[in-house]
Amino acid sequence: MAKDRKVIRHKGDLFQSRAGYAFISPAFLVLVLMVVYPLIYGIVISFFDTNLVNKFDFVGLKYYGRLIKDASFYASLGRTVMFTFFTVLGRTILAVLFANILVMDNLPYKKVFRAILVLPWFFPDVVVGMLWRWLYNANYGLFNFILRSLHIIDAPIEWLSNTDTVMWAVILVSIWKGFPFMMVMLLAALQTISKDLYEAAELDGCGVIQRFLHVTLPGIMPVLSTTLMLEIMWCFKHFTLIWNLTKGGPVDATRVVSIDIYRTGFDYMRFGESSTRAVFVFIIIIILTLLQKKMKRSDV
Amino acid sequence: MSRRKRFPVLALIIVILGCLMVLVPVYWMIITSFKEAPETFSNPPTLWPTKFTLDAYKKVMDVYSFGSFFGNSLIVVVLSTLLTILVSTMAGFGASRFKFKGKGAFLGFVLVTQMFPSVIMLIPYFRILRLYGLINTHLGLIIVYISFQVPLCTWLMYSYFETIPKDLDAAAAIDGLNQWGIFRKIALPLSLPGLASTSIYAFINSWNEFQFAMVLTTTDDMKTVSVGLGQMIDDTMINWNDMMAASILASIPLILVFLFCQNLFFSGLTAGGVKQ
Amino acid sequence: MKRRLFTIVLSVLLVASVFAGGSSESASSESGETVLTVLTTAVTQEPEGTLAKEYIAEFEAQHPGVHIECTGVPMNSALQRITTLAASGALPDLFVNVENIIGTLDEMGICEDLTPYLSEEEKSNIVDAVRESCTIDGRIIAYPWYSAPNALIFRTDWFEELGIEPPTTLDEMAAAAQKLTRDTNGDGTIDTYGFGLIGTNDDSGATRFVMIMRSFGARELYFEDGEWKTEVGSPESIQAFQFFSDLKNKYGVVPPGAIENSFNENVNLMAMEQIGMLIAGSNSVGKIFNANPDLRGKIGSVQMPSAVTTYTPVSMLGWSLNPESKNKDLAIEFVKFMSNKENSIKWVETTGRLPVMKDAIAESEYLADPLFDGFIAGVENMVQAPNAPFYAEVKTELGRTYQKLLLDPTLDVAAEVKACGAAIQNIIDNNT
Repeated sequence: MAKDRKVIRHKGDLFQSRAGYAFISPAFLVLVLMVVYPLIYGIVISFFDTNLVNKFDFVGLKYYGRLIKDASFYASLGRTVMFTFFTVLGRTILAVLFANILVMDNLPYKKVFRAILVLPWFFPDVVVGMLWRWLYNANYGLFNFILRSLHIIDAPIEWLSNTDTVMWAVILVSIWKGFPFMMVMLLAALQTISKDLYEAAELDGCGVIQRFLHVTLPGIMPVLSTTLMLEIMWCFKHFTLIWNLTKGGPVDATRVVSIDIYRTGFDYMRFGESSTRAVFVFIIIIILTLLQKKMKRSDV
Repeated sequence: MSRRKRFPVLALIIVILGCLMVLVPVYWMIITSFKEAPETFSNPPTLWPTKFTLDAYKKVMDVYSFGSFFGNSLIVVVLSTLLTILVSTMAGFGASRFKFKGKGAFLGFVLVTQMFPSVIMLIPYFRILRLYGLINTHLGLIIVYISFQVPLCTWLMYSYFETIPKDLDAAAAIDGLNQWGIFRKIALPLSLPGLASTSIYAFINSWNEFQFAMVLTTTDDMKTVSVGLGQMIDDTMINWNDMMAASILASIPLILVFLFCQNLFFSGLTAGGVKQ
Repeated sequence: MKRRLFTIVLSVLLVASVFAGGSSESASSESGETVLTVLTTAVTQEPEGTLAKEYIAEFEAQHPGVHIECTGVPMNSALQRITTLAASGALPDLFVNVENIIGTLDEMGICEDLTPYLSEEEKSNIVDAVRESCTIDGRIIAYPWYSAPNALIFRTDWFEELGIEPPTTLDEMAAAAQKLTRDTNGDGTIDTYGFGLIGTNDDSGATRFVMIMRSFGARELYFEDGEWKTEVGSPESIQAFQFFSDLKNKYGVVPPGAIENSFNENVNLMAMEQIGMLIAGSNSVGKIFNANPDLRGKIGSVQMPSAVTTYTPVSMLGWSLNPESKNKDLAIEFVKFMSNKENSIKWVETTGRLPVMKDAIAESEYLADPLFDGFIAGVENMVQAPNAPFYAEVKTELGRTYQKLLLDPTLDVAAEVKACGAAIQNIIDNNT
């Protein structure tokens, strides 16, 4: 009681823990009821040799041991990191760029541009994957057709057949599909920045870049860092687009961890091993998130 | 206000390039949906349909029976989005504005639930719903989608509340508002753009969710639009015109939701302006 | 604001409670009907779906008081769905089973032994190879519905034009492919290619590669003396990989992008008149005709060409019965009905998927069309594919190797194939 009063005196009526619990309790309840069991289930089966139906042989850490020694797993991890890094980078650049342009007061047809730029977000991953696979096709794809009609190339480019280009082709699709999410989130964040701040900065003689660094960036930072964190998480476990575009091929050029997880699980029916990989990814993402949080804290 | 005077030529060029990048594939989708099946297989490809037809759209509604899928999707997605937003706005506000024991742990826990690849979660989810007798019901899918979206939306809302200066609600508290009042009268209106964009996010994600909807609905009268789309993918051959028509129809509600929420952005802006 | 928020919350709760109240799983059992639950791939496809629903309605009409509750699932997520259902104890009475998942499903113990339900006559009416592939350890665990065996389909008009005979050996196939690869309009670029090579590392790609490798006499996986073995790494297998890679890298008879072209793209290419030959199932021909009606009468089929032998793996789609089903007899009656003679004959005419019952094959006039020659020969000579639960993984390994060789012609084929053999052996060791 005394403690409560102290808090009230210092920071106002708001900072009362009971009210805080009240506000988060519905969310907490949802998570406890729905998410905890699946999570534990996923972790537990990583210690079993199981097809999930009639075979549950406890194998302890056998799969973890096997995985740690598996060179191809590290290669998959490396590809996952590459995919994640460049996808998130590309999405962030486009999102920041377009969001900042789309809030400009003097930009004509703002609403039209905004509506066009968010379009990729509206189509499901499956459809986007199939569509781009078609566009990329070496024989009858639109891209090769356009490039050939313009006489830019003579022979068709096999975007998805070439181990050098395939990852970039996949990353491009992934950026195309994903940047609108961040853009919209940032657009919303930009709306909360007061116009007065910009005017003040301008009066102080700040240029465009300085205004961006000193006004815009701090203003959108909480949203930017959250979306970045979410994006990294999603990309790390992303599956659908890559699967529909390449199935992880050619050879292993786009075989990321999520494809490994899917293949070992639902192709090979070795759910224990599949789950081991998932747990690994899980741990890696936790570490990444902790790092990100730490960096954010040292930033502020 | 010199920002208003200069016409942003460079910005305009960038935005137009961006739109082109987006529109080329989208144009292809749209144009394909108006072609007859054989024309979608013509080589070289035709950039404009030689015979413009709405057959694909008719087929999507009649043969693939997307009509009922739309109804199911609307019920499931609208309800789950509303509930998600309610729950996660409260949680985001709570985490942003209150100091309490275990706050960091809560935010971490929220995130952790999102880190596990969803394929592995399929079976446990199915079991839970079966336990409650909710397989092949709207309510079952609604619950699943809420549990998917709440963690991310909580984080998004949390970060939006973080962008709103905290001295505002201290001032409001002095004016005699209680916490619920501050949440409703100060924080909520100010975070309206964030609320709108988070709602769009939740809506789109649930609308396009395929894997769980596929497994958790068993009869045609319960299937959602995304399931209908997924069923059109055949190992042998894809009827591109049908599929593109279905994708476009499926995205119309999303476009409407976006346009609606876009207006909220501006109302949020004015609200913010007044309060400032 | 306050009022609006409360209205929203209230209405949401209201609607939610309505659903909570009305969410009974299925109401039909209350009316005293017998409900048979069925999981099938057929109803999500066209034209299969319409006809399957017709059959089901007919069965229901013949059996008053019986309701068939049919759930559709696309083939590519069938295994995932069945596993999920089985792991949750929610398996339907009948579920789809095909040759490449039958071993896995049997291992789960979810397929009832159907042997006691079938008369000798009924058993012997099933095409022998199909019956064998439905049988594991002497138990018939799936009742077949239809089949879509692979054969080599080719453009009869182009073959006539160039004066070539349909190939019976792989050498003839390669030679024909070279002739078919040509610049038809004289603009200096090649317009049609000889062979639709499927280079993706997926089941349809690997299955077709296995057909070629087995033609050379090398088996990717087989069961002998109580253990699984592989012949990948043998001189014959090296020849096969060499041949496969030569099609692209030496003869240049495959279209650009062969490595990324799955079966799907190749069907498109055939419809676009860009390739002359393709290893395909009988049902694909109908889809090609739909996409390009001009091709009717211009496509023929021959059995898979051979090097030293020929190999057509069994392709079968059938039903398995849940051992916990309460309506086993009815279920059996249903599956027998679906592939009875009359229905099988109608089925092939609509869908191009071949009957698996000897009487239907013998009596179908439709199959007398020369278009089906290769497929019929395929049905008669089908061989059971390995049913090891880890067969999918072996195929992925093959796929990885042929992609490597297709990509880089300078690689040492023998060394790569031997490494592939070692990797397959490793898979065998890990799983037994």
